[in-house]
Amino acid sequence: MSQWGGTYYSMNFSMAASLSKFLYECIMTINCFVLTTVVCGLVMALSSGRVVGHCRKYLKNELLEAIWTIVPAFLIYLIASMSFYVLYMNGEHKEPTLFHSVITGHQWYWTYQYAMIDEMGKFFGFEHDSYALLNDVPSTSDDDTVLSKGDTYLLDVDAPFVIPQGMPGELLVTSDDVIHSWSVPALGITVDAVPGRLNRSPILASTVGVAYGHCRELCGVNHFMMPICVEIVTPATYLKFMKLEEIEE
Amino acid sequence: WSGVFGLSLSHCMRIELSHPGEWLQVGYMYHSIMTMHAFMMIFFFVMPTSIGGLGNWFIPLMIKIKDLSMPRLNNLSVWLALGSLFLMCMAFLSSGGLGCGWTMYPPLSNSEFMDGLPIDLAVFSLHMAGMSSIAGSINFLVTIFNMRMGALFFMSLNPMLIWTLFGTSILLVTSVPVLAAGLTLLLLDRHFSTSFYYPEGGGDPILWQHLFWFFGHPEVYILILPAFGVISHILCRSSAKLHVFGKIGMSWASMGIAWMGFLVWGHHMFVAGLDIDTRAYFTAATLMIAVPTGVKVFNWLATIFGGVYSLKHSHPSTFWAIGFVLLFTIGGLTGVILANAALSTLLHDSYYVVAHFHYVLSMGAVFAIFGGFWFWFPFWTGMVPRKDLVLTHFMLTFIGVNFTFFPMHW
Repeated sequence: MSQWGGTYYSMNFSMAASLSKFLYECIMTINCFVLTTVVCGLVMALSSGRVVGHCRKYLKNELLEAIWTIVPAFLIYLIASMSFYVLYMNGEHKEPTLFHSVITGHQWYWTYQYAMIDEMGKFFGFEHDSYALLNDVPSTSDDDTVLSKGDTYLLDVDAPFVIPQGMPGELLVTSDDVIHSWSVPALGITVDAVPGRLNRSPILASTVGVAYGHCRELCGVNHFMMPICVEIVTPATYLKFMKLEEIEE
Repeated sequence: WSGVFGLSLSHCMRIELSHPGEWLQVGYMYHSIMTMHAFMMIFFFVMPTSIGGLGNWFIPLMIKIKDLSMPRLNNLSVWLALGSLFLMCMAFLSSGGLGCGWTMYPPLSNSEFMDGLPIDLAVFSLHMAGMSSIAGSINFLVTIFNMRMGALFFMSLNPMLIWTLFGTSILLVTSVPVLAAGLTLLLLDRHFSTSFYYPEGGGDPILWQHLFWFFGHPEVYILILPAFGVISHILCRSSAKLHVFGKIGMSWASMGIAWMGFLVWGHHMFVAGLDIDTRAYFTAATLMIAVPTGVKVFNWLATIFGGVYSLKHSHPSTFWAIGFVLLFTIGGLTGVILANAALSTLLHDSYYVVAHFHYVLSMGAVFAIFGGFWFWFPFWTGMVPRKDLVLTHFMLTFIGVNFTFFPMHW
């Protein structure tokens, strides 16, 4: 679950991601405990012949079987209760959502739609496409469809998805053609984009920055070439972005 | 029935070559190879070998009868399996190849995106393979029911392989028709303008996912249950014991795993847009399967206890069995992690899933197949293989699969 090139965890940009990764750590700990038990048991059992001799009649022991049914059942119960907590914390947000975005998957790019209601109660919004940057020769001097210095191939896009930091929002994900999956692990979000269906996911980014992700459902030949780039900005910048105002770098 | 066994072996050889390896031109070829790798390994390697091969050979032997109840049905099963293999290869070789993944999700596999021959051939191939499996399973079920030694539910009588093949047969007979239904709907969508999976016509791609995974999850238990039986046999022979530790518990655990396998298909669909309470249910149900599986692992450990093992004197198949216990446990534990819906936002469709199922399959089912092969090799052929060569086989495989699949956890 690390970013390309790293062996440790990528940064968490939301509470959902942190909680999920913490849950992973907890379950992994329990798992390592179980694995150690099994390995020790295996080593003990394999070398027991020399110590105890042939135990051909050692064929059942109900108490032992009860123990190793009940103890794992208890561990599973622990895991399940932690898992349920994280599932419900991440899956449903109690605060009213302050922004919505509709994400549409296509073969092989994403479309992002932003919507907001301004001070006069009027709805306004816009949309844009988001293509992967190509490993190509730029056709003009400010060609932004092509990789330039500092960009990462298959991660950077020409127009990233912008969301505000600290504002609870909702993502509505759908698709125009085949099933895709909008996935940004750093935000702890993976939502399938299914045609004819609007899947929703709550989102609450906690830090400003840039998060990357990939399409996570086989969608054809260029499935690997539709990355997701999310730019998390301050609410003030987001407002300016929404009003299509100039944003100072 | 040596024919069936021979066929299973030839399937093995065939499949070893389907493994994707070389770098080639990008595009649909990679997806095609990936899809074929999955289909071949699952439907034409593990299933024919462990169910067709082992089942046909050992069910009559272990319950002391001459042949299965319906030998002509068996024959049909063999021919259908061959035909299915032929169709699948045709699908691979025809234009465009199978670029949709072994799960064949529409709309990608629907007529709009993958028009023409390959997917239709694959669908027919799977239909035939399904019929072959159902025929074989009916045969096994009838044989075991009618010709068992003593009462069926006097569990301590039957060898573990019979029990696990029994469970496998029940799973096959119940889940393959659901796959057949889903495949037929796909075929109708592709050629007869129906809209089972087209939202514009009132259908839903998620319908395919439900149908497929309702089959798909019992399918993976079908792949592993015979392996469980084989390992029990090898281990109790290696420890010079009469039967595996806690035989009745093991039988119950196998049946429990088989039955619970029907209740958990949604864990393959955690991010597809299921309701949060549905996801919670599937998390809980999937986690519960860990309990009988753990019972089996601990019972195997207790079977090993009290046996004399040494590097020099142990039969090579023992290594496969011990490797199975260790590596299948690891695979099972990563399965426990994947069972949680809360983590699927991080892990869905990632290499972590690939690592998990390869640990339980190429280090679970395949270790059991290889172990069983070397275990029963003298019995089948009357020849004793050179031990150092067999051990080399084990070491190379063990090192190879671990190096291949362990890094995928990152």
